[in-house]
Amino acid sequence: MTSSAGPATGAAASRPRLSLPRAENGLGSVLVGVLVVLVGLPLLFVLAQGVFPGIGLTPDWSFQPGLLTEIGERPLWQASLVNSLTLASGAMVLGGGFGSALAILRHSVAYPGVGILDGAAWVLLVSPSFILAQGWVLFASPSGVAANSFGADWVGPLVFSPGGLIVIMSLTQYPLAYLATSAALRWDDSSYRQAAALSGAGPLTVLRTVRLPLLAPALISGAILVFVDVLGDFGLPAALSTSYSYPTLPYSIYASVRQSPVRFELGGVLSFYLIVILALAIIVYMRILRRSRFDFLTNRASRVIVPRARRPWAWTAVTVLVVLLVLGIPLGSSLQVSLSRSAAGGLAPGNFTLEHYGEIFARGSVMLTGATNSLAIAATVAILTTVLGFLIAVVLTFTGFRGKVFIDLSGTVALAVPGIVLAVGYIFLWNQPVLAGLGLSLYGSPVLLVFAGVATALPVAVRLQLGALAQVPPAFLHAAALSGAGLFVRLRTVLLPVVAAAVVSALAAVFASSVFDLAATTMLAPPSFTTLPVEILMEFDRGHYGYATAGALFTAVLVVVCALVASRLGMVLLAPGAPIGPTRRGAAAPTDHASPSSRTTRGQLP
Amino acid sequence: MTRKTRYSAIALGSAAVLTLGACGAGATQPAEGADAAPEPGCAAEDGPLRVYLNPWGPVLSDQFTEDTGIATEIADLGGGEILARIAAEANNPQWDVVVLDGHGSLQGLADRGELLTGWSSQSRENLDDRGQSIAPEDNAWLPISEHAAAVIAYNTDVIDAAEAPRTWDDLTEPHYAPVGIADPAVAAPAYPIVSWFFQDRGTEGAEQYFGALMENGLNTYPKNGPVGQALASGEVPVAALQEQNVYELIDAGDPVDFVWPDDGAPGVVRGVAISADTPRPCAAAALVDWLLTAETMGYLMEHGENDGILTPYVTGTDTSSLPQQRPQDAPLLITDGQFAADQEAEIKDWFANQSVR
Repeated sequence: MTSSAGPATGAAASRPRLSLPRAENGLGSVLVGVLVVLVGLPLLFVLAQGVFPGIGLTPDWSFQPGLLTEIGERPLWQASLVNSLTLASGAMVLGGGFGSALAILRHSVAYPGVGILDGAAWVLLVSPSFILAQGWVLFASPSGVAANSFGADWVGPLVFSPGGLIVIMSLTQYPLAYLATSAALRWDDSSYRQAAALSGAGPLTVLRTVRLPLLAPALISGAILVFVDVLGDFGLPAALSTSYSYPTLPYSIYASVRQSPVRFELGGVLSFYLIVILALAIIVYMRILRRSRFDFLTNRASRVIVPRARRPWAWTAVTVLVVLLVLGIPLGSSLQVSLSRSAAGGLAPGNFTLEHYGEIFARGSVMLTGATNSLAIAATVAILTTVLGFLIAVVLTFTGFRGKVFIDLSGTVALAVPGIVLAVGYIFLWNQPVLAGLGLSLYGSPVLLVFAGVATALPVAVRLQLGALAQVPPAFLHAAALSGAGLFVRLRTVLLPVVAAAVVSALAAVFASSVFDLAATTMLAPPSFTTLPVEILMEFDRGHYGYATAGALFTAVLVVVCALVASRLGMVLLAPGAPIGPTRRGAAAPTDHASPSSRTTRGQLP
Repeated sequence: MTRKTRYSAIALGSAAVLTLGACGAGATQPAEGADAAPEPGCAAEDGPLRVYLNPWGPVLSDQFTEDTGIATEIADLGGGEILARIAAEANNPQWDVVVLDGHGSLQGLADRGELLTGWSSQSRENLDDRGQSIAPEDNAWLPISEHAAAVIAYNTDVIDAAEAPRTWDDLTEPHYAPVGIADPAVAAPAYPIVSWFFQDRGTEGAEQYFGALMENGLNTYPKNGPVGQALASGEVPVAALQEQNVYELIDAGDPVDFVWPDDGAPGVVRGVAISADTPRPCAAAALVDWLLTAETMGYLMEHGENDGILTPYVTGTDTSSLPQQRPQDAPLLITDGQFAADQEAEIKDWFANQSVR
């Protein structure tokens, strides 16, 4: 395994481990147990339906492996598979490239407004994918904003094509790649670049031969994250289904468990396909990672000082255009529809109204009750998931725990499996009469919404923190261990301050995505428990686009504000005085060099 | 060695849970009192009655609690989600009563033994002849009302009234394409449209009919709401649209009008059923009996907004709240419940596979 690459691999193989085997194995085993319950068993129940239809549900189940090969006879499945792969691969290349390019721009030159790129990526990341996709659909559909308000009839056919959808997915999902690359660019050991420069390398050669190879893992992991996220994305197909027939695997799975008679076995088979594709993607990803080591930060590492751009205003213009494209179009379209009497009425003055917002704030509004419930659930989920994701990332990065592959796979699988599948698995598992006998009948209580939320959001929390941890040399922790610090003391005092920005990003992202966790709340919400996403989708289904978009934008603003507050609060608590990650700090701020966070890092070196 | 043991234990544990689940399903004993027909008028059991319902939501549950003192917990969801939840709970049902559009789906639940049968409903005699003829003998479910799953709706900016399609066959004319329709796999009221054509024209005839529509361009939307929006904007000039959505668009001033074909509009039956495993059969029966009275139906029609636009099967119901646009005594075409249930998977598979070809 380790003989495939050069000297770097040897270094990785002999990488010192975080801690004494007992603490390491104990933590690993606990995490395996948690993941088995949160992800493994529910998924196993669903997958088992694909070959044992009815298992766990009816007495007369049997072994029917034939379903797995039925794709040959089902045009809908074939179309779904091809569409999903096309969309995910396209977005991986385009979105991955776009996100990484923006990140490199962000950390290579300084110009007025460069921080807006961080803000845009962060807002995109925390905005529910359904709301963004719905914004694009409202913009581009044949009766949408582009056609009605601007007379641009050509937009619809352009966007509602496989190529157009790849572009939309890239523009909404690129932040994963942007953040992964940005995290890697945040710290820099200038000696590598200086060495290259002293050898006569120009800036481009330095970029090509030093910076990009060091960045490769971040670029690749960013692109693969985009691939996996797009593969499992339900927001776009759900929003799209109102305008353009483009079945994807998640949507077909969703349809199979929502139709009558319910076809769990078909959902199981399609989920199996999704998981196989995901597993392949992860194997490729891990093989690539194994070829090099990335803990290039040393005690000389410092926050990057970015030179001023030569034509700052040109870059500012580019940045503004990017933000208009990625946020202005979808959110602007939603805003216009939410302020219109009739969605098809265009920009006519008579079509303007505030009534949809009035309805939200009316007395006894279901939307407000739903918002309260969803925010409470999301806050709980965010805290639990971030902690769990941090511990998982630690085990994956710094330990030799043998169950790493299982932990990695179950920490990622939920990204590709539609939430509704996981939710169905949760009902299968937690509604077993056996558990009720043990007093563990959680089905029908909000606790299960929290569990499902954690399982769904875990991949993002793990990936965001993995990227940051991968750059921390184990020597940092090793030194603390030699000084007698216990496992949790090392994590809290050494690791947490260095990766605080990533932890806080994860917290905010998980919080935001959980508020709009549509699938889980639809299936698992206790009776008489209103949630925001269900309410919004129901209004879309009823054709009340104005009220639904008003609700969606209200949610989005609420989410962004809450996530912002959580970020600031999180930074203050985790790393007092450190620069605040996802907000708009000027990239060129020279004080960054001596920021408390970097001082902390160096201060704790042995 | 210890590691191996640990992984074996995890694998074994997972297998055990699955097997337990599998066996548990077979060995599940119905809850106490389940499947025992409630005596007419027996006292409601303790605890809130759990109602899964698509129409009416709290309008129904609040009034029921006020009238009878029986507390409820409702899951107010789309028809598809309700059926998915019921199916996922199959080995340990958590619901007592379901109210749903689509008697084919209810008959499907009855065929799988999930509904309480053989109980004597005090209110069954309140149903008119049409309701009586639809209701199954064993009271597995009882019909409440019917309404048009689809009328022929058209955008008046695109099509003059004189040129509007008058019959369902007119829709196959290419100049009306693309025609909008809700997805029968996802929207509860859309399957009754498709199943009616399969029952009326036979499989071959129906496949030809929908094949012709798809050939010209058939835009399927997940629910009727988006179909209506697409029609209002002119994205589709004509749609097979649920009647409530049509009236709503007309009221909102959108350029929409409709034709109720002389040979009738495919109808959807709203029904109510009790879980075979309910631990609260008396409270559940009380809800059904309360629901199928003229007073309740009149109240739900008046306060149910769109959910109140229907033709009730309950005799003596005050229907004065119906919108003026709704033609009186317009013919509704109802698919046989057993046919709809038996053919459901096959028809929906055909439709879904055909529409991506």
